[in-house]
Amino acid sequence: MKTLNEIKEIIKVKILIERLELEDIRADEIEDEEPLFGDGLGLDSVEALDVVAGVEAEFGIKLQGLEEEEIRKHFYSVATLAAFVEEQLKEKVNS
Amino acid sequence: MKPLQIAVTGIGIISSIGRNKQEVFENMKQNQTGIDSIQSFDVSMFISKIGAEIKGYDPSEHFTPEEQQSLDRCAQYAIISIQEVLEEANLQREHNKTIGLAFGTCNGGLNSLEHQKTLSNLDSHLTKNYPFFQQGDAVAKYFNLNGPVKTLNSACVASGNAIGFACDMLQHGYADVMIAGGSDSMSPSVYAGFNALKALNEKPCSPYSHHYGLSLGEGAAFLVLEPLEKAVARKAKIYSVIIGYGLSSDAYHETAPEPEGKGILRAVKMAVAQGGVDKERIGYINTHGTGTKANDPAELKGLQSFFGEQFYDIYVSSSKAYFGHNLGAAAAIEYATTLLALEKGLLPATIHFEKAREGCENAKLVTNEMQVHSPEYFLCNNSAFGGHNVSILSKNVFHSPQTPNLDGDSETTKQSDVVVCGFGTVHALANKSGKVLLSLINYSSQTTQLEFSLKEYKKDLYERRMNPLTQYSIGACDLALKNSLKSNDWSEDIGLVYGTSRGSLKSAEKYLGSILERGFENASGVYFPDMVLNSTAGKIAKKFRLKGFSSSHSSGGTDGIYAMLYGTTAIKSGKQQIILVGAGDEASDLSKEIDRALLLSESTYETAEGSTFLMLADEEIAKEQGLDIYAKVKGFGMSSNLENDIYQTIQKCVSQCLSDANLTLSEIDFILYHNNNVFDTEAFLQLKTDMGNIPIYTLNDMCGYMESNGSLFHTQVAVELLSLSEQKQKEVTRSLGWTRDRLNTRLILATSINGNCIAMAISK
Repeated sequence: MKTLNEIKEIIKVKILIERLELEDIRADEIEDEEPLFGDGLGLDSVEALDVVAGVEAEFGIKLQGLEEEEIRKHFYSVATLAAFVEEQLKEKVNS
Repeated sequence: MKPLQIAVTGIGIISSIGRNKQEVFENMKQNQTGIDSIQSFDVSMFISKIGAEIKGYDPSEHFTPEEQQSLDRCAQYAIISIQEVLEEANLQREHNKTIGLAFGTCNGGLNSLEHQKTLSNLDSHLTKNYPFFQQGDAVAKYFNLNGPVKTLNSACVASGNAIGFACDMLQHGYADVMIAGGSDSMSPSVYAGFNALKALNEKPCSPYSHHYGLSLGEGAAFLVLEPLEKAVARKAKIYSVIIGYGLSSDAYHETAPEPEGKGILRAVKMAVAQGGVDKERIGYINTHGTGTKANDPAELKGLQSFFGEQFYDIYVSSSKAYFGHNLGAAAAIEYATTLLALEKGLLPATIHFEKAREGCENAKLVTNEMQVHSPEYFLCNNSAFGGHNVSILSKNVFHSPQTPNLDGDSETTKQSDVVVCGFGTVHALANKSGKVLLSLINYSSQTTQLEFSLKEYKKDLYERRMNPLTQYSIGACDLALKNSLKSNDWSEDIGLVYGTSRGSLKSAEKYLGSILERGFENASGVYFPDMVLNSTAGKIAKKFRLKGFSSSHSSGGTDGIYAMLYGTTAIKSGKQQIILVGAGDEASDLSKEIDRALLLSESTYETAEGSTFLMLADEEIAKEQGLDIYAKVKGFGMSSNLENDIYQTIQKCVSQCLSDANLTLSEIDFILYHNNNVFDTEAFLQLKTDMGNIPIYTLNDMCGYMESNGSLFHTQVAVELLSLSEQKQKEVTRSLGWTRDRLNTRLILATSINGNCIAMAISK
């Protein structure tokens, strides 16, 4: 089981910086609470879908069928996303 | 300029609901759909598993083994539908009749590339069939066409854009007949991209109905177009008369439409303005209606804002529930099938319709069954990735039984002259302000290796993952804008015509690489939008808020002058007063593979990268706005590869160009020739001999070979020279070793790798 901090690190490095090729920013400069979209990191709707695909690929969880509303809530920031991934991984272990 | 009156005198279709127009129409009438389980590749990993494929297609029923090897599936579908259209139009190949081709495609020959399942050490036979321009060129060659040939790459509006371009070629007298339409074949890589964007519907699509999502399709449709008076004179069967068309750019987002539909609104306005028809007389709109959450309500909002209350009385439908979204062929298939329905006094329906979704409740939708109705005028609209929009306004000839009247007495508007008001180039030999002439004068074997970073040039123009092609092009566009407008405050009502033979293959490598690495189900959603070649034009339009007339094309070596041509006809037709024309090239490993397949690697020229932009304007507007006028565009000549003889092709172009410009050869002071030195070397030498004392030069031994941009680079050099004082001109020509002192009028020539040719005359 990955710790919450490990999950955050994977989201920042593997998904945001490597997969989306964010430039001029290092992992330690991305704030946990900073919004991923709009005013924060400024990701757009196409990138949002790629973050979803990145989470599926990196953590081996399936997010198909997730409502837009839920995506908006859980993918708000690195912190909310990491908490959501942790919960999904726990469910995966338990099921 | 006489009003636009172009007759449609033939229709050919191949699609998932029929191999010819009768079959297609019969199935539509019986509310049949071609959307079914995908058969040609594994779809088990995708959310949706359906699509509108051409059932049981066997190329050997149509083509010899040699032809199959030299034609991508995209070109094959096109040929099959053009065979049908030529049979119907019964065109006697009279001597001297010029017939051209405008070919729209979204995916080009992607099948030929993706089936190789690798991006290195590619098979040259297959790879040769990949380039977008190869589709139009191969088809033109198959039918021995001799007129202008151009492949439009503006994604899902490509074939509507092709019909529009063809209308311009006919209206301006560059061809007697144009064959126009589009083709696209089902591609697993494209399917994977739409899957990554979550745009696919699990059930057969039904635009405007409550279940979101689109269904991909494949197919081709082509029309025969000719000036109405010629069609009437030869008593051809006439399906409709095109009287106006509009193009625009959303300048908003790479995949999503502007939510208020302002882009499609501008295209409709342009079409209706050209047609000069009261909007009250428009009785039907065949919409783009893909079925996605973003597209459908936005499109209806745009239309509603144009028509006002009248909108709720106009019949509206999307035909995509019959045969899916055919991408580059969509506009042509939808236009053609609309004509087949109108011929029977019917309107196409949106089938599978259950209940209107939010934002679509108030439109007068034709659902589930064709509607008996005969509008006087109708619109066919499409929108695309990259933000491009097209709207075609036509007169329904079946509305009233008499022969369509020739609007002989309708007023003709004054023809405007087109001038060059600015330029800018990003290239290893260009200086900081985008000029190139000085480096050519002081040339001493400099490198053609381009070092340009848009981020360093101007950080706010750059965006993450922006490919080099887009960086160079945005840089060049910025230089041209600065050079001409000299302020940062310009109107959004500026057009953009962009030529790129290959688009950004660096982005294509990333996208196709993501599939090779991670599988189709994990295709990269962020790189997929760059797979369409109009993505660069879309990004330029967005950066500089260029929302007017907008088009993107590929022609394999003549792209730059074709951009000049289309910009010029758009201004002369009164569609747009100011248009930026540009082209660009980028180097990559995949591009090298294609060079090898096309034999371009055998050229003596180094391959170079870069982009050039020129600002074109209506002369009166340029004077009114106090813009600098550097040169005047005088005329054009185009020809496709005549009997595989490049020299003969060039001759035809030059003579058409001189006659269009109302010039004689003796009035030409100078010729600049963007050649490739692979297949056109002999023609170049013969031209030098035959032109006698007219100096003819190429700059490619200095600036390197730029497939798309080379001809525009040559044009900029000509413009820079023409804008100099006589004294300066003398100094320059002497230092370059050129023999003429007087430089008033010059000709720019270009040949493509497939031997197609274009000539343009410009003067002081």
